[in-house]
Amino acid sequence: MSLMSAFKSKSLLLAVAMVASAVAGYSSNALAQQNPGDWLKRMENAVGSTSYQGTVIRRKRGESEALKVVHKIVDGVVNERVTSQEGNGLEIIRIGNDVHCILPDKQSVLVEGWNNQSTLFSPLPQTTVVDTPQYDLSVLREGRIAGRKAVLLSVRPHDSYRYAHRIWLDQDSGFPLQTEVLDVDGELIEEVKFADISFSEDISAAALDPSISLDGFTWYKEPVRYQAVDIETDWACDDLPAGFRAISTKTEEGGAGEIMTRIVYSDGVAKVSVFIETSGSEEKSGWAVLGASSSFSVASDGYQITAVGEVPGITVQRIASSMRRQ
Amino acid sequence: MTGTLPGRGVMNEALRMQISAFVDGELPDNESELLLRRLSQDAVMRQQVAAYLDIGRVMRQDRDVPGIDRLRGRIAAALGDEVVADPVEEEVVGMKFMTPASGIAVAAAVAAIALVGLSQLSAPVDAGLQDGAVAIDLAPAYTEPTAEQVLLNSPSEQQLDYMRRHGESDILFRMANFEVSESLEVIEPDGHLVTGDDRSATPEDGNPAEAGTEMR
Repeated sequence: MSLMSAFKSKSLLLAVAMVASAVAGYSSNALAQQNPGDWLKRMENAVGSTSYQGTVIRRKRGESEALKVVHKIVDGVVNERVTSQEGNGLEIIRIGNDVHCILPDKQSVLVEGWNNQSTLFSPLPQTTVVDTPQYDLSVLREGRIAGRKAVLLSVRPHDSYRYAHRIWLDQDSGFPLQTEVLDVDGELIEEVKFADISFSEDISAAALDPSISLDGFTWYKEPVRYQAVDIETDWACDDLPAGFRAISTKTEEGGAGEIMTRIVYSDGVAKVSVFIETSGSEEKSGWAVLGASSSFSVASDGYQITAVGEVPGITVQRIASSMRRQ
Repeated sequence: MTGTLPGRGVMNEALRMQISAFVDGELPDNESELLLRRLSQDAVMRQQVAAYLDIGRVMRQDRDVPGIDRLRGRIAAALGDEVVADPVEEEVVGMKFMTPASGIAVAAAVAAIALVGLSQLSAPVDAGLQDGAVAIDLAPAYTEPTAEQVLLNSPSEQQLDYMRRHGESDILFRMANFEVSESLEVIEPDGHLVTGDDRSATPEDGNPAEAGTEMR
């Protein structure tokens, strides 16, 4: 190769590299200029109004499970069927807040009342997170999930008292195609990912029927276990992590007459409930973990105090350990 | 949101997003190299990044710095384990900044973050007071439960009840462990659920669905 042709080749390579870098830079800047708050609003709208069916892979603390999901909004009411493709073949059929859990292996149906929580997702970040200084939001990059164009939204905390969220949003609709909850070291705690999904209002009623006959099944219902009343309380947390504040205080009276105080703290994304009741004969203390939820119990001055939330263990420990009567 | 760091200028949105993506391992290689090259040449930016990553908290022996383990991992990948194991000496890093070769420049720029961050690990605690950008957390030490503690403490019935009251939606887990208990009330099938076979049954079969009670 002559000196001139070598020079031309290098020049060409350099030019290609510069163009590629410029394109990458433009793409990055274009993403940076997208408002994460707008994406959150689109997500909130999509979750509340989109009908879909597909296959979901859920991973929680190292275990995974495949689920078939049919989700239809009828006059603003969620109608949903979620069927586990593994294990005992559990099926959940939900009509609004009425939930039917079908357990084929136990030939049983359990009827429960719910309070608007999602069957699939842990609480997703709300649009208010935009105004929460404990988190940074950014639109990181584009990609494909379940065969659809998606953008990756990152909700990153500034300390280790809350989890990070990474959400892949459908570029057309804003629907969350993949959600991840990550701990302080970036380890995956929970992932909900659509392997395939189709959006359609045209879902037949039959698609929401039980997939097996319920003949001979025994039906159970859990009786109403407590009544909740708003109150003022002299309980408070001496050492709340930054950004958390009390958003509700209630007493909850159980069927046996036992009374419990419940205080809910929130930082705008994560919520922590603190349950306070007089200690029984058996006082308990320590952690428990379920999915992205942690709980910590401690006995103090004749009270059993338990904090529960979708936060790291140190957060529930810190809050439960610093509850005091003022 | 824009991070304002007293005495250190304002960190712009694009840079903050780049750093965030870099720590997450999401920044493409070509952009990572550009970012690190800028860091290698701009001391103010290095300080901004360190403050953004809240590295001052490490210096104050507050162990919880989001992403610090991954950052260490990336530094290790770029520079070798010895840098992570031992705090970086300032003059060594300074020499590396002067090296023009691209690969070393990248490594040196990563070390720039290490310089601000990891070298502070060995600094006296009082030095942390010079860092006015980060609030001092005087909270007592709390420790994350170990995996063993978590495994030993699968939720009791009472804790599951608390989680339900809190709004924990992991019904799949609860149902996997479902046991019929005396507190449950046996009820008649409510007719809201029908299978395809039942749906096609005649009204004479007495199927409640045919009586118009279906809730959809």
